[in-house]
Amino acid sequence: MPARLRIAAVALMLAGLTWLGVTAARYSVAGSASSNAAREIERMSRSQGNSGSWWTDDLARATRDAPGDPTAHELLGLGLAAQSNDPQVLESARKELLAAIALRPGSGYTWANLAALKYRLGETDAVFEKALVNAMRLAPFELEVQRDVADYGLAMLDEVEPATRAAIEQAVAAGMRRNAPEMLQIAARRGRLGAACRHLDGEPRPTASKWTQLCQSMEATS
Amino acid sequence: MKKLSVFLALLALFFADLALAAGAVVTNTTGTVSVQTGPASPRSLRTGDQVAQGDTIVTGANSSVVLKFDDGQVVALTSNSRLQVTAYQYNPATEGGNVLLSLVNGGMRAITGLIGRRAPNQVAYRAATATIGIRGTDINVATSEGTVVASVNNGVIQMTFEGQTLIITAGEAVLVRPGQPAVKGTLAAVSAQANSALQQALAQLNVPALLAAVNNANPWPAEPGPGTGPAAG
Repeated sequence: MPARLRIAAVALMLAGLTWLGVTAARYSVAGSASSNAAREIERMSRSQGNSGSWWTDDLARATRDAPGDPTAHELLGLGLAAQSNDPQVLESARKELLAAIALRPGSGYTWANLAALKYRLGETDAVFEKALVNAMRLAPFELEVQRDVADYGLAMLDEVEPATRAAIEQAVAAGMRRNAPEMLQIAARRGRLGAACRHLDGEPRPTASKWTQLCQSMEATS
Repeated sequence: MKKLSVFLALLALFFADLALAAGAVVTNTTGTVSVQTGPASPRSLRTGDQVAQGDTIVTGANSSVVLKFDDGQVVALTSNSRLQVTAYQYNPATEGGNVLLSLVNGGMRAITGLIGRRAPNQVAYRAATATIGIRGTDINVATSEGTVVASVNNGVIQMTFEGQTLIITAGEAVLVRPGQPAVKGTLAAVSAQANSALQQALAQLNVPALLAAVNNANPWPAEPGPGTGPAAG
């Protein structure tokens, strides 16, 4: 191999390694921002306090440095949605969640979060229904997904397409197996106790007698 | 992957917690009911949704909504009503907080919760330019074009309007109009002098379906008294 060609190949390798190093460093910083933000979110969720926007700033930087990181996009979307009711901020939150879905379409959690945000925005359209269906299809055994799909789905039960209704009913049934008292509570709050009560018979663990009595009295009056 | 799942579960939990940090939950709706949060566009309000301080609730024609606040306070709105939750803060540990609800238009029934039972001076309702303070109360209020009718089903209210303060007890009602003396008497007598919009709002508070929805949401049994239950409008 001619010397010039060898030098060019080595230079190319060095350039490639440098690029890889820089990219790895950027993703590492972005990952670190995501982790920090996650810890702050956890702290916020425990204290119900708002810690300011430093972590949304960090996440915004992380999404710029590592645009291919779905977690950073999702966290930023949730962070923005949590901090403001400003329509422009909520629009940004939606864009971040959609970006996360584009990067990681297989995450039931992300679809459930999109459904929650769209419900909050009053956008109970076809995309909202698709989000409910996809969330349940992709993460049928995840309690948090079951909870979201049941909650926002039961609110809309009379207005959705049959496929969406099936996903909502699947979420309620699965939620009744995982955590019956919580699912009964959600159904009662949505004025849809019957949707959960019908799965009470299959409940293998003892359920709070309050709910059993409520379901029985419902059955008696229906 | 396992770490990621835990992480995302945490997010879902966070979002759920945020949703549950509100001041009231909708226990019943009929017709068209919407809520506006800050500068956001109004969105439909459905049974089970949360309402918080700063939210404005609007009912359409032939519509109603019943809200149950965290302290047990129950509020019902009749059709074509507009209510702002101007202030609502509640600490379950101390059972204390403060409430200020502003009825811009329409009819409302309000049954005091724990905040009003522990510290009545921390609860106030506004209707047009009238301010209503309470003492262990179940009241009906209706307002339209600056005119206000308030009636007391249970307890006592103190109504301030154009510098005048009126005390209304259970079974009594009052009508106040800008620039005119207040009219006090039974709800039937007062209602007869109100305009048709107010009469309609007061009558709608007596619709059996709304009464049943309020009773379902009310955590306290009706207390006996001369004005127990809304008087006929």
